[in-house]
Amino acid sequence: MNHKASIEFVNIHKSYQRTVVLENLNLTVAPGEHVVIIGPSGSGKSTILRLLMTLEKPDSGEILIEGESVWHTTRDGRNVDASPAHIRRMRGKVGMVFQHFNLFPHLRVLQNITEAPIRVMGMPRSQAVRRATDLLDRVGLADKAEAWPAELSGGQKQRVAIARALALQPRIMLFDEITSALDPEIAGQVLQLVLDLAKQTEMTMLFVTHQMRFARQIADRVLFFDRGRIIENGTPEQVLDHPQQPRTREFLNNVFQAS
Amino acid sequence: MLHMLPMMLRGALVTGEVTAGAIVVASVASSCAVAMRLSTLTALDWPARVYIELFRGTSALIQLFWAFYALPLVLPFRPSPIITAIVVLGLNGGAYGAEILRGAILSVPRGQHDAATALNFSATTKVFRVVLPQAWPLILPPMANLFIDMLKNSALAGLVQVTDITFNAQILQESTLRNAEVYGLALVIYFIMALVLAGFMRLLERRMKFPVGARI
Ligand SMILES: Nc1ncnc2c1ncn2[C@@H]1O[C@H](COP(=O)(O)OP(=O)(O)OP(=O)(O)O)[C@@H](O)[C@H]1O
Ligand SMILES: [Mg+2]
Repeated sequence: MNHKASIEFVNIHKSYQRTVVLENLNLTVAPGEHVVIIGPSGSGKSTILRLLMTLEKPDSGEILIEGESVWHTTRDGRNVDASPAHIRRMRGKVGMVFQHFNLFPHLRVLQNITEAPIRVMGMPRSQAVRRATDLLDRVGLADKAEAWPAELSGGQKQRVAIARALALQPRIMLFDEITSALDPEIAGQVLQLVLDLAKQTEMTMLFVTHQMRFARQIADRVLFFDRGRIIENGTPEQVLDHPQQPRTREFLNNVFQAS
Repeated sequence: MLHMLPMMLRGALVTGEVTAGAIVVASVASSCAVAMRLSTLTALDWPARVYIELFRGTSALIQLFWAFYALPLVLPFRPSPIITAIVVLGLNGGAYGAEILRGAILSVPRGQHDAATALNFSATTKVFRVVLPQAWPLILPPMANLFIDMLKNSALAGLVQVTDITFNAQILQESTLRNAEVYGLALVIYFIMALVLAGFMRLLERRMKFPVGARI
């Protein structure tokens, strides 16, 4: 391949105990592409993102980030398990925002953001604080730097979580139902922030969301996912407006009825 | 009663030494044991389990007697009574402490581990900057209980020749036969020491606090 993909899943298998979640999954995402994953609950959407974030390890198959295997390296021509240092280097290319924010409750907002740059990148504190302050400004929370996470609303927490993930300047950002825990109006504001962000950066972005309007606005490509398989894969118009598979149509009907 | 005071206070000093020493031993032992228990290596998990069950499952007094009367038979030297008491009571407390630590550490939500990993924290950073700071508020109150228990348990040391409050109270009781005063004084001294210890632990608790409130 001369044009390196940002993300490749090659024959990925993943099961938890007896539940097979992903079976023989193949997926390629181009650099800078915005991919939205939709699908019913329990279909394995989060598992894909968690695998990319190295929160889970695949049972078999290869995950490549920018052409490089995350879990394996070649030594003396053989494919061997990668060192922890290699895995950490690969992990550094990816950032993630979670459904339930997962802010550190014992650290103030600013520290939530500066912690990783200081401890992971070895950035001087003053520079980390400057960057965190800029990021807080970008997510509209410049005045909350010294607040505790518990003092923030859900929407504010998620903004901080986004700033925190951005502070490490990842090449790939993962968003797992980041507005599912928010009420609709606040969710809309957070999604608008992400839309603006997506326009300003070159990052590859993967979204799991149930917000079809947002999916339409942000996606270069939509994947419909069911029981660990990609059922449909195309532009938002193709997948959301002209689904080919009955399973996709049924799912979309349910989603539109609910909203 | 005043003439009893110097001897009882000397005893209090020894009780303080035994308790403080045992708390240090317990802290080290419980930290090691919990690190081993939570490690992914079963080779480390097992010895820690055996230690915890052994010390929780047998009486502290018998442990002390055994260390004092039986252990020296196999050791090339005889440790002093106070050292024996500190180590045995410390290891005993450490077994309970390890379980307190384990419960608190395991109660830190998975999302916190996920966030730490997603931010590419090293294992050490994760433990010391994310997990432990959140476990502290859950560790300190039961730890305070344990330490106060250890203070009271230190009275057992008096049975193996350590000249602590209990030991000295018994001597005074035998020479004066004034049970009410001697043991009353002992009670008061233990009580004051427990108050001081509890106050200190509460101070720590306050320093470790952060606004918990809603789930983050
Ligand atoms: N840690 C785990 N242990 C056991 N089973 C798990 C674990 N995590 C996920 N699963 C199972 O794997 C399957 C896929 O889960 P996943 O979280 O990827 O689904 P999802 O598509 O994100 O669903 P939702 O829309 O509800 O978030 C589910 O059946 C789930 O029960
Ligand atoms: Mg999910």
